[in-house]
Amino acid sequence: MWTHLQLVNLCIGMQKGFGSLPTPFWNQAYDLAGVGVGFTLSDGAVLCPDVLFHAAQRRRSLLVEAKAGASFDADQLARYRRCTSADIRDRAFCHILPDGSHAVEPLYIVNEDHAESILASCDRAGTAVPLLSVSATGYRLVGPQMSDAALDVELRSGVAFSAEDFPSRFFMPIDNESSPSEGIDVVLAEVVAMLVGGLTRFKPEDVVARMVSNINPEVVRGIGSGSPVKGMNRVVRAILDDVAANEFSAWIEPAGNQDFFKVKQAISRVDRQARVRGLRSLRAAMRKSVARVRSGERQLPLFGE
Amino acid sequence: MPLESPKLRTRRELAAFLDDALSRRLGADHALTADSAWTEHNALKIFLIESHLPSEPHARAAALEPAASQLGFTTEFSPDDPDFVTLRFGSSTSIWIDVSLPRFWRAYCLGTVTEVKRTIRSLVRSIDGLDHVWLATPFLEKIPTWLGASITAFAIHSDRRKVTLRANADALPIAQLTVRLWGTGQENRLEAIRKSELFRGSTALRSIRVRRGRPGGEDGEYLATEFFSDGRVTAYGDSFDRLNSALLKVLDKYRTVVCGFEDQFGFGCGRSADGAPHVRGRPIEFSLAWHGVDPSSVMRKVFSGTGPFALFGEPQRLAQSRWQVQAIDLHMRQRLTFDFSQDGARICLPTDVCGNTVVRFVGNLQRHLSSDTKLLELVKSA
Repeated sequence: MWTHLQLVNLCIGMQKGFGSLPTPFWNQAYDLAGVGVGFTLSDGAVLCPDVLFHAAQRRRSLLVEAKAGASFDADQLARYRRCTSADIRDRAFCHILPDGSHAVEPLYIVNEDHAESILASCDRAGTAVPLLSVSATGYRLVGPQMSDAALDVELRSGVAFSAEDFPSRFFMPIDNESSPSEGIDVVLAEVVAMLVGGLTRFKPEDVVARMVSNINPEVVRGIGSGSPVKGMNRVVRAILDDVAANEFSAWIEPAGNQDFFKVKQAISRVDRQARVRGLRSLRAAMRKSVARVRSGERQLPLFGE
Repeated sequence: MPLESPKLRTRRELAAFLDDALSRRLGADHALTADSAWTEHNALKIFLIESHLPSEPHARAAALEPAASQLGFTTEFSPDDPDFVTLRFGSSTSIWIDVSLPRFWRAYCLGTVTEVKRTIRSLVRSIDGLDHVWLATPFLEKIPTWLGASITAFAIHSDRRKVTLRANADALPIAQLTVRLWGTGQENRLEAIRKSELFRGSTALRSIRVRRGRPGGEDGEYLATEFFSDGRVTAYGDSFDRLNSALLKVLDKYRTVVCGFEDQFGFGCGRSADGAPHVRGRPIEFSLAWHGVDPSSVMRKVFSGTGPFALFGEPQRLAQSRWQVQAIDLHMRQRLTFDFSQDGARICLPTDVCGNTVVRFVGNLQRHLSSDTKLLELVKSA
C-alpha cells in the first residue's frame, strides 16, 4: 500500500520522468502546474488538488486527488466537478487559450486494494470518477472513460513497474498528510542543517518552510486553503517534541510553553575534530530516532492534542 | 625560497606583483625548461572558490571575518579596492583574494602547497556559502582545448577506501591507484589507459597540466598551468595577464556547467513560457557502477558529513538495491534528495540549491567509486 505522499510523488514522476517509469502526462503535453496548491472556486468553495496538470495547447486541465485509503467524499468530487476553465484561469492562474473550450476533469489516484471500494462508493453516490489504480507492481486506469481519450488509452492499458521505478518521496519528501514516521528523516535532516548553521533557536514553521518552499510557496506564505500549513506544522511539531525528549535531547529543547525550540549545542564550524565528532553523534541520533519512530515503539501524540 | 608577503592594497598591485614574481622567477632560472624547474615552491598557487557570500563589501566582511579570525587570520579589506581581500597569517603568509566576480573567487598565494591547501580547506569548511570549484574529469579534459594548450602531464587517481569500510577495501580489484605521466602526446595515453581492463573504472583525473608556448620562445608567450580536481591551480609563466585570462576562461565554462544544472534541473515553482505558474525542473540522472563496493558502505561514507562530499544524511533502504537519502549539503546547508539503484543514481535538486553540489558529488564519485559515473541526458524538457 502506497501512502498519500508516495502517490503524489508517483504522479509527479509520471510527468517529470524517473528512471524507466513511463511518463504519460508528459507524453500528452501536460505541464505540472502545481502541487497541493489550493484555490477558491467562483462559487466560494475551496479546492486543493494534490496535483494540477495543465495542457494549454491541448485545452485540458487535470485535477488529481490522491487517496491512500478507501474513503470517498462525494462533496469533494462535486467540488472538483464544479471547477471550470474560468476557475483554472482566474483562480489557479493557468494560461488558457482565448477561443474555444477548455476541458477540466478530475482524476483520482488510489491504491489498488481500495479501487473497488471507491468505485462502489461512487456508484452509491450516483457519481463516477476515473481512478488510476496503483498496485505494488504497476498501475492502470479503471472506472469511467476520461474525456482526454489519448490519455485514457495510455493509462488504461496499464503499466508494470518494479520497486526500482517508484519515486517514493523523491520529488516531495513530506506533505500535510504525512505521518511522523514518514516525515521524520527529512525533518531531522533540516534540524541538522540548522544546528550546523549555528542557529540558536527555530520554530517548527521554519522547518516546514525549508522543506517545501521550493515546491509550494503557499505553504510558506500561509495562503491558499490554509490546511496544508496547519497539517505540516502539526507533523513537524510532533516529531520535534518527540526527538527533543529522546535522541536529540543533547541538541535541542522546547522553549517552555513558547512555540520554538532552543539549540543547546551547535556543531563547531572551525574545529574539524569537534565537527566530525558532532556530525557522527547527530547521525547516530538520527538513525536511532528514525528506527524507533518507524518501528512504532512509541506513538507520537499527533492526534491526541 | 623565502615566502613573499608584501602588503598590497588593490588587485592592480596584486597583478603587478604576481607578474613580476612570475617573470623574475622565470628569468632567474637559466636552466629552465618547460616543466623540469617547476616545483611547488616556485609555482604560483591559485584556489578557485565558489562563493555565495553577499557581494556588498560590509556584509561580505561580516560573513568572512569571524571565521577567518577563529582560524588565526587577520582579514584586511582594502579601502581602495572593495573587491580585494587579504588574509594574513603571521608575518609570512598572505592569501590575496580577488572577489570581483559575482560567484567565483580567485585566491592567490606563494606558500607551500600543503600549508596553503590546509588553510583554504579550513576556510571553506568554516564559512557557510563557500565551496571549492570542483573540476570533474570531463571538465578537466576540455581545458586544453579551451585554452589552446597542449597536455604535458596528467594524474589519474582513484581511492575507493574513501567509500568503503577498511576491512573490505583489500578485497577490491583496485582499492587505491595513482598514476602520473609526463611528456607530450598525453591525450592518446589517457585514452589508452581508459581502454585497459587493468584500470577499469579507476581513471578519474586528479589533475591535468597544460602548456602554451615555451619560455623565451619566439611567440613571446609562455604559460604552464596545472588544474586540480579540487579547484587548485598551480601556474608558471611569463605573464600574469595570460594566467588571469586562462582562469577567467575556465571559470566562465564552470559557471556554464553549474548554472546549467540549476537552470535545467532545478526543481520547484517557476513560470512557464506563457507566464503561468508551473513546477519546473526534472531529476538529474547518472549511470553508476559499484565495482564490487558494498553500496551500503558507500552511502554511509558519502553522507557522513565529512569531506570531500560534504553531504549529511541517513540513507533509507526502499528495496533490495534501492536507497533514498534526504541529505543536507553542508556547503549551503540546503536539502536535496538522492536516489540510488543498482545501476544509477538520481538527484532532485531544489531550485534554491547550488548546482555546485552536483558537480562536487559526481566529481568525487568518479574519483572514489567509479570513473564511469556519467550524467545521462534525458529528452524531457524542464
